[in-house]
Amino acid sequence: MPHWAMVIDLDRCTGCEACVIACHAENNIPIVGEEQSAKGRQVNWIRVERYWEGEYPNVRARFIPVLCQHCDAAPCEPVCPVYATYHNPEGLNAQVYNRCIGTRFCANNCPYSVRYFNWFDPRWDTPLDEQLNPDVAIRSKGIIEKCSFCIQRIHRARQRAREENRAIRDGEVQPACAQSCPAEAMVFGDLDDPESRVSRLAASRRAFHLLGELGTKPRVIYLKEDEWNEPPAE
Amino acid sequence: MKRREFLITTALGAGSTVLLESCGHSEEKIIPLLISEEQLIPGAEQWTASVCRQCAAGCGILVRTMMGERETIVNGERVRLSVRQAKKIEGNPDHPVNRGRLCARGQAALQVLYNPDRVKTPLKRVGPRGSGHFQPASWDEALELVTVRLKELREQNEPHTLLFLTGALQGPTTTVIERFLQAFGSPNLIRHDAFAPDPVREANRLTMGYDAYAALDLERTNYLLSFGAGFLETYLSPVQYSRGFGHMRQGRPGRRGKIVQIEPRFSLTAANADEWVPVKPGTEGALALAMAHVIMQEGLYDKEFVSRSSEGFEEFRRFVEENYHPDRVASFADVAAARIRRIAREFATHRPALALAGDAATAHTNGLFTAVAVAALNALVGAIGAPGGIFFDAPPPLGPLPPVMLDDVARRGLDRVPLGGAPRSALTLAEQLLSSQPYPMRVAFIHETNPVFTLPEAAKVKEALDRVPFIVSFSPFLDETATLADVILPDHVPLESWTDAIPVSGTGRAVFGIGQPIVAPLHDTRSTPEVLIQLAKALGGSVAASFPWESYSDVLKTVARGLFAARRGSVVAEDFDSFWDQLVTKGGWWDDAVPSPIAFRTPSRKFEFVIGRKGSGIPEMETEPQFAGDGSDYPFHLIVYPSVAFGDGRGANQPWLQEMPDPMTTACWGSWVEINPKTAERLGVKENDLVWIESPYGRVQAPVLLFPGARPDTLHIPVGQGHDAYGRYAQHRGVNPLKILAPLREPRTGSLAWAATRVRVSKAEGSKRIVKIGFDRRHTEAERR
Repeated sequence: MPHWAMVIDLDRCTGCEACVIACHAENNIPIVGEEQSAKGRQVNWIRVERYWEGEYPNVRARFIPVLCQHCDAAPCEPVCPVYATYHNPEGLNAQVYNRCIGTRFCANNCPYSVRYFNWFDPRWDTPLDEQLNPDVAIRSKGIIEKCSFCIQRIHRARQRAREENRAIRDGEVQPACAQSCPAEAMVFGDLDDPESRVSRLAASRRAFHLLGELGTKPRVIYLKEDEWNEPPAE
Repeated sequence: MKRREFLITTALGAGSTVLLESCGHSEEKIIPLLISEEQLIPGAEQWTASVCRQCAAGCGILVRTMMGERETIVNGERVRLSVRQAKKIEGNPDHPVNRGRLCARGQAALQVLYNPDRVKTPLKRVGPRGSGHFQPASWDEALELVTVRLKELREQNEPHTLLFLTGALQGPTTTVIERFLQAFGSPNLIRHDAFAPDPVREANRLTMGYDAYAALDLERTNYLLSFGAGFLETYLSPVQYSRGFGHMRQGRPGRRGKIVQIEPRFSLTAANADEWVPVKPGTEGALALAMAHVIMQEGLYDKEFVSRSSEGFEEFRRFVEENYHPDRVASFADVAAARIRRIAREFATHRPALALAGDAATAHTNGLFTAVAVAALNALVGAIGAPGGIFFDAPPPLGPLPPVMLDDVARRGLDRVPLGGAPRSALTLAEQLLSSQPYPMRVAFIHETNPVFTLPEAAKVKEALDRVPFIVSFSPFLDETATLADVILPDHVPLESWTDAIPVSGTGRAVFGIGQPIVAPLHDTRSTPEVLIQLAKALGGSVAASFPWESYSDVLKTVARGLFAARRGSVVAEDFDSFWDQLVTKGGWWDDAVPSPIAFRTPSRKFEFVIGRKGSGIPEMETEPQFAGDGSDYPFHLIVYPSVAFGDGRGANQPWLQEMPDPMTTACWGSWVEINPKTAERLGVKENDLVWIESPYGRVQAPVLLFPGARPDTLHIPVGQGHDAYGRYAQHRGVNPLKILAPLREPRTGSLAWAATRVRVSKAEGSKRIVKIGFDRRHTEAERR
């Protein structure tokens, strides 16, 4: 059984936000408008955090796409009174919408702030709703939603593989964010397969976990190197 | 026939007639898209290739369609129709521009298709011009209104008074436009794309003989020196360059390329560079020459290339030695001489290296000088036509169209002096329209461009267009320019029609992208090249005879015959029909990747170091930048920038992009002015305080955003918001900083010097909270201080 994981190479990521819009399109994420955005009620299953360092002129900005880390030791899971959030056998931190009663304990307990509460029923100005992806449920008011690693795409790939009587190929499943990424910074795959791209990248000396010291055992692995060094003369 | 099927057929009647009309008789491609409900399989997906038209980069896309339902009223009865709907757009993995990748704007094209504010039928103006009062008209009626005017021009021997304004697109659609004008008898085709780096193109023509943008071999480069070009944001082909960037950084084990971004504003590209050089605005060209000075003096240049393949090196060298000593340049460019020397040495010794110019660096009155200076750097490090350097593509071998038929009226019209100056510029055009020189225009066609929004108010585009008695717009949206029209003949959006694109930036090989209609048109719209063919037919005579096609897809088939005959590249087939099938299925044709050594097309057949050459025939090239606004009255440089979300403003009607945080500021849904925190302190303003930004040409109000990457003497405002029209998501939101720019231009290309305006800041009443997303920790601290 695969154990899904994602590698995000921060040396490649430019912070361009393509992943964010790709996720909106794939996962029926509603727009909340200016007023609600100001109240922090935007839904972004993936967002690009930007950090400033230094002062002008020695200023730097760093980008880090933050999505559900699908932690193996997920702090959100034990606090849900109704088992709406649980760990599936393939390592995904899954959210069962029709169990969720909206306590928001999980969001409160998530160190990455990647769980989003629906403050109202989503609305699309007609005919924008014609774009909605029929593979993904529309979430109603009062429940929590979050990144699913595009589980619908995993299902599709599995279905296809089964029809063709084979295993899922490495690289066959790509969440919408990874698929879109112009700089090819995101790689998705099976961490149990030592030959997969994601496994090989995760073994990099550049690899680290976001807030790894919390012991959440994230399934998202970031890569980051030091600055440019003058290569030796040839 | 079953009852449901009957209903569907009736309901689709109107739409399908349009579709068939507008797409001709290629039933094999069209009919399958109008699948009846019985043939659509619920839940089954289909991916169809096309090209992205959100900017001129020409990325290949795949569009996912599925069965969906649409509620509509048929004969007074509410019914639910099963229709094919577009659900998702992804990059086409085979396409050489983007190789499966796509940017945020490309993803958002679905919200162009399903935008609630589209123009749904032809419109005719009923209120005063610009009032926005229109009445729906039938296509017959609207086309008749236009045809009558056009016939009048030809009968009165004034065909040259037809003006056609269009955007940056290249390819067969433009060919149809050019052909229509020719057959009609007007030399007046003007293209306007606000942030197209015209000086870069002109520099390529002067130094290398190519009137084109170069392909950049980022993947193999070790050192990229970018003068202002926001190649990871909106510059020419950002998806292609981002991919190259990723590869340059981490695609080659053990080898990480270095990127130096030289520009006054700390852009997204600067943030991703290894080093940012906040140069004084307008001095980028001088800085490039100071680096050339170091490279030449220390003998670090590619002597073989220079001696074998260049012309004018000695004059260039003398000129640079006399005028651009690093110490002297350091005194005004705000970059230390030691740093100039270090970067120059790194650049020359870490080959393959590549220099690039664009955006704000070339948006000065001396923009051409800067672009030519940067081209010289490429020559000095032997980057031209070498791996890791720059290349020029051959154009795709498109088949020729039969010759245009010209009657006497057309011939006389074409002999008239064209408007817009040479090279053609919308700014020059506006002046000429205002002064009715060399002659007044009587009819204007406006297509895929919105100059009223994208040019400064001081350019008086609105007033200029008001001098044209009859304006026809093809815009699918009521944008600021379309609002001035007398008749609107709304275009399909790209996902509904045949579409094509030749990428604006090179890829290293010839590319032709094509897309078939993917969903049935949502509204009573028609494809513009189709409408032009119809108009030509209605005009009769030689104009009609120049368009011997039933539909636009026939034009595409004619040009595709050239690709078929080439018998090489990504699609090769035995017979044309199967070639066409594969071409449309794959979304285009691209040449085999072959290393293409460069053949210079200059008079000398070599690279020409234009700078410093006496009698080189380019006297208009200014070396010193001019600014609007005196330094004492207007102490700040204003740098406006095309935003990652909206480009030149055309993305502002797409709600996904409105809610998308700007990468550098995490702000959304509005406008702001970026100010260095220390400058703000000096001015006594805090984050979110409203301020007036005033140039000699006007003022705008925006909240302050404390931006650590702003020079103390420079302010930035993103472009894209501040629409007076353009639908519910865009209208009356934020400000348009382009309005207050000076109409200064780079003299040779006539392109707007949009970085050349100086401004002053004053406190305004109150504040407006900028909506930011995520954890903006640094600013919170700054506010607390």
